[in-house]
Amino acid sequence: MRKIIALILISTAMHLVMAAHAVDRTSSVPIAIVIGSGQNVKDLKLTPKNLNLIFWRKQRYWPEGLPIKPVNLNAEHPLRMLFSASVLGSTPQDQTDYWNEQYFNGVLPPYSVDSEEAVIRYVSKTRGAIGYIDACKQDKRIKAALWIVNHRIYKRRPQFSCK
Amino acid sequence: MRKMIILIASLASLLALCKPVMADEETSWKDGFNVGGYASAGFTLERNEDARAALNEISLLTTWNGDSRWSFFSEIELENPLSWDDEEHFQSESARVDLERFYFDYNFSEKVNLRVGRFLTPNSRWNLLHAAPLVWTSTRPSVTSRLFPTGTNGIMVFGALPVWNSAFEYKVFSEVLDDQDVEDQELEFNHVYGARFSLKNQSDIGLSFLSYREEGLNAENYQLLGLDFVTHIKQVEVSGEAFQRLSTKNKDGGSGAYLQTAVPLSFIGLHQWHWITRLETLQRPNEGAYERWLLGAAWRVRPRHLLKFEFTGGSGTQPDSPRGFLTSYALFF
Repeated sequence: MRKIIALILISTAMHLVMAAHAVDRTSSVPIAIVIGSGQNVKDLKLTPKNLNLIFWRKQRYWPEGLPIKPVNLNAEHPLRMLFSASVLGSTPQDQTDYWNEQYFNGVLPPYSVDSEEAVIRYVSKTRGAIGYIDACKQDKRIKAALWIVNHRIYKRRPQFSCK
Repeated sequence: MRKMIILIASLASLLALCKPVMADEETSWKDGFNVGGYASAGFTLERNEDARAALNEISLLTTWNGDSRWSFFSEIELENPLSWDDEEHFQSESARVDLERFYFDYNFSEKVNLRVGRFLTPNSRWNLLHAAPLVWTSTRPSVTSRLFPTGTNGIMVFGALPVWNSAFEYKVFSEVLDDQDVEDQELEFNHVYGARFSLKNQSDIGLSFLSYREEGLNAENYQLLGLDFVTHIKQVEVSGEAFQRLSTKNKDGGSGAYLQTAVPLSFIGLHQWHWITRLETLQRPNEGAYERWLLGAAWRVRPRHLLKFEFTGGSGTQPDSPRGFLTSYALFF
């Protein structure tokens, strides 16, 4: 009996350690806020504050008048969870009531895709699009406009390493 | 006119269904259309009345956002399309089409937008979010529909500004055209103008001011001051609104308020269920006092579906405010 209890306790402890490690690993992923390579970062006047408004669909136009087309990863994606916690201050699941209210007023939530490659394709081929990916996966098709590292938003590229 | 609106909405629906937007294709103005809506049906067992079941409403929401600063929104509602009771059985005589909202927006900047058309009068949180799948109860607090005009035909300037970690929003508006379609029990209002300021954060707080003339028995010019809020205290949603109306002739203009709580029942294993309580009061000139209490439950069956049960009681009468048992099912589609 004692052995069974000991096994359960060890198993539980291992699960907790693994879960903590997974959360920690995700939260340390550097995020790049990306726009199409044809757009000029300075023209967009993007700041941490209006990044929040863009993904709540409170700011819907770029300064020159082009509609902003934000793109999200799906609600279960670890990077979406991290982005939501860092920029919007809540989980995607907690945002259901808000998006229902917006739907009633004709405002749809950001377009949602399943992979970071899909974000890159959407952003690179859609005028006015903005999305986010793992900063280490950035390529020539897109530009980084802001970075998020350890829940802090940077206007200049901070130090981080890509393995 | 109504047939024309329905025809335009139907055409818009068909256009929207033609082809989904693809990121790598050139978009045309047709791709900016989006059509959806909501509906609700319910059963009412009112004190001293026959039992009644009804399809309460079907609302069609149409939006258009092109590649310009213009956008369009409309809500066309089919009210009471079908009902049943013991005496008359099925009937659809009380069915009517209502143009709830129909407006164009122009974005000068995020701080300044212009709205032209018919919109919901923005002086009450409930009035702005009254869709059946969004509210916890089948009945609406009378103070949010019997003290001021719920819709306005006119112009509005509105915008949002980031303030700390929240958004400060303002709306300033004025009526341009009188309401063209007033129902039997509906109050008639004219010369409407006002403003609303709100701060959206973990708690939402709104302050509104409205000036208008009410026609009919209480024909008078009024100024209305309103305060509304919603907040969460340990996952319990607490919301409320209070209004004080002042007559320009220093007569009693009326007042009212409600306070509502929604307590999640997950602690007893009922996930997505909420226990609802509400107290409300309304006092209108020449109509006496009105009070209601409400006890109920609501089940978020899916993120966009809501099942509601409620018992209501109290004193006084107001239209669309029954006392008894009500249940309804509401969904966005």
